[in-house]
Amino acid sequence: VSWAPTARLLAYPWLIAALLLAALASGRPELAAVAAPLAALLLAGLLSTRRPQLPAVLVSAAEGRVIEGDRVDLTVDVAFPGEVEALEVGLLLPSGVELVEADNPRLLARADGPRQILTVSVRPRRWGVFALGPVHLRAFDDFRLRRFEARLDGGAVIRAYPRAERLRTLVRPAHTHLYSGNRVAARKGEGIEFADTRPYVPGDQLRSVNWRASARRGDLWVTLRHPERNVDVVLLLDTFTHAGAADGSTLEQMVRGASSLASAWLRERDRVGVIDFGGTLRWLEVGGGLRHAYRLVDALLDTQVVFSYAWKGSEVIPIRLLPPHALVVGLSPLLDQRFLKALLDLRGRGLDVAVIELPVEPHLGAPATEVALLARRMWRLERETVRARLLQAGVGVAEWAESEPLEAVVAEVDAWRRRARLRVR
Amino acid sequence: VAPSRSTARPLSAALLAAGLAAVLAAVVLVRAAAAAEAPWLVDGAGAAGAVALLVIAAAVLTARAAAVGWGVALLAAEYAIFLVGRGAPLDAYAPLLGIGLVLVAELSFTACEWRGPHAVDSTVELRRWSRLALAAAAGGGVGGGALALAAAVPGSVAGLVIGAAGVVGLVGLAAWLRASTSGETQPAP
Repeated sequence: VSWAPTARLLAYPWLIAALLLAALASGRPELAAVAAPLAALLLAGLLSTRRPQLPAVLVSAAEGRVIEGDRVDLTVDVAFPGEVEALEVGLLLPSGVELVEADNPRLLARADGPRQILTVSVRPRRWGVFALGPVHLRAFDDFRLRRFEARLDGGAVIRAYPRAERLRTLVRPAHTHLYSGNRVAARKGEGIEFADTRPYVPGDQLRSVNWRASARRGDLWVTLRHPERNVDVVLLLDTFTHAGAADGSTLEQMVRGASSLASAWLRERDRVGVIDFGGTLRWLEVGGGLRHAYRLVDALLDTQVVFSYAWKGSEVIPIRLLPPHALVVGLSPLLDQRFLKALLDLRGRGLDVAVIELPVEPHLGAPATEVALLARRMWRLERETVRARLLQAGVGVAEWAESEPLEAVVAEVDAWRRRARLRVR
Repeated sequence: VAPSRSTARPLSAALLAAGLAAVLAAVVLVRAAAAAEAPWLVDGAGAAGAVALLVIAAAVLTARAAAVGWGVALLAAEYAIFLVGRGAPLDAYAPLLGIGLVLVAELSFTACEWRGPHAVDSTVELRRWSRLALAAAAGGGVGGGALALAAAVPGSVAGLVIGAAGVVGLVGLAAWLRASTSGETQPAP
C-alpha cells in the first residue's frame, strides 16, 4: 500500500508555520491562536490512522466467453481492511470494454461489513481477450490528510467473440473435396442433382436405371448424378499492417469478416483453416465440426498485427496448410506488397484464390492541401493497379466497406468468378 | 454503496466555502475599518480580503486544491493587517477566526475533491466533519488558553522558544512531505 499526502497535508504545515512566524515577528500572539485549530487538525490527523493492510480482492466474471456487445456481470469481492473507515474500489477497464450503468469507483463503508461484494456490469465493445482489472483501491485517513492507494490484479479474463454475420451466399470454389458435404460437385457419380444419362453397363445399380429414357431408346440407360461434396477453404489473413485506430481498424473488421466466413462454411460442413500471414506466421489447419469451429474462433481472437521489415513470401507457408484444390480467401487492406506477392504466388501455383479487400480510405483524413489531394489521387490509382493485377491473375477482388453487409461482397466476388469462367489447374 | 460524482455536491461545498470566506473577510474588514487609525491599513486589509476571495473562488471552481492554501493564507494576512492597525489590546476572537479558517479550508478542499473521480458517502462524510469540528474546537480552546496566558505573562521567553521550535518543525515536515510526493502517483479510474 503506497501513501501520499493530500493537498491539505501539503498546505497546512506551511500555513501554520507562516502564522507562527508572523506572530513571532510582529509580537501578536493572536496569530498563534489563529494557527491553533489548524495545528490541532494536523496533529489529530497524523496521529489517528495507521497505514492500512492490503485488502484481498477477487474479480470474477459471470461468463468467461461472450459475444461482443453482450453484457457481462462482474463481481468484485473485497475483504475490508480494519484500519480505514471507507474504501474506494475502482475497476480499471481495458480499452474496448465499457461500464454499463454503474459508478466507478465505488465507496465501501466499513460499517457495512468486513467482506463486501460489488456487482459491476461491463460490455466489450469489440472482440478480443480482455483481462479485467487491475482493481484500484483508495482510502484516506480520518482527516483526509493522507491518501493510501494500492493496485491489485483482478484475475478475471473474458473472451469476447466477434458477432458473426449470417451468410447465405458463399464463394463457390472451383473444386470440391472428396468428402461428402453440401456442395454439388462438378464430377458425376452418386448424388441427388441430375447430371447426365449413359447406356447401362454391367455393374450399374438397378435403381440408377432411367426407365423413361430406356423405354424411348429401346435399351437400358442409367442416370448419372452430381455427388454432394465438401470443400477446403483457407482464410489467409493479412497481419502485416492495418489501418485505423484500435477500435474500428481494418484488423478488427478483418477478424469479424473471417469469423463470419468461417462460421458460414463450417455450417455447410466444409473444412476451414486459417493462416495469419504477417510479421509472424500463425495457422490452424483445415478441419470441420463444432470443436474445430470453437478452436478457429479462439485462434482468430489472438490475431494481431506484428510489424516486421523481413521480406517473406508464400514459400514460408507450410505446404500442408494449403490442401490441393483448396479455396484460399485472402482478407487484406492490400497495403503490404508482401501479402500481395503471396496472393499472386499462390494463384501462380494453381490455387483457387479470392480476396476481400478492407478499405483503407475511411481511416485517412481528408487531404488538406492541393499537393495532398494530388498524392491521394495517385495513391488511389496505385490501388486500382493492384486490383487490376489481381483480377488479371484470376483473383476475384471485392471491397468490403464496413457499413455494407459481407454477404453482398461475397456475392460480388462469386459473380466475378462466374463471369470470368474461372478455371484452376 | 453510494453513488459517486453527483454535480450538486461539489457546487454546494464550493458555494459554502466561498460564502464563509466572504463572511470572514467582511467581518475582519468591518472591524479593521472601525479600529484602524491609518486609512492605508483598511485599504490593505480590504485588498487582501478581496484577493483571498478571488483565489478561493477560482480554486473551488477550477478544482485546483493547491491554490486553496494561498487563499486561506491571504485571509490570515487580512487579519494580520487588521491586528497591526488595531494596536495594543489582544483580540479575544482570534481562535474563532482560526476555526473559521479551518472550515473555509476544509470546505474548499472538499469541493475540489468532489469534482474529481471520488466516490462520496454521506455517513462517512458526516463522521469526518464531526471529527473535524471536534479537533477544530479543541484547537480553538488551546488557542484561547494561549491567548489568556499571553495576556497574563506578556513577552514570555518560553512562548518565543515554543513558537520558534514550532516553525522549524513545521517547515521541516512540509519539506519532507513535498519531497515524498515527488514519486509517481497512480491515476484513478
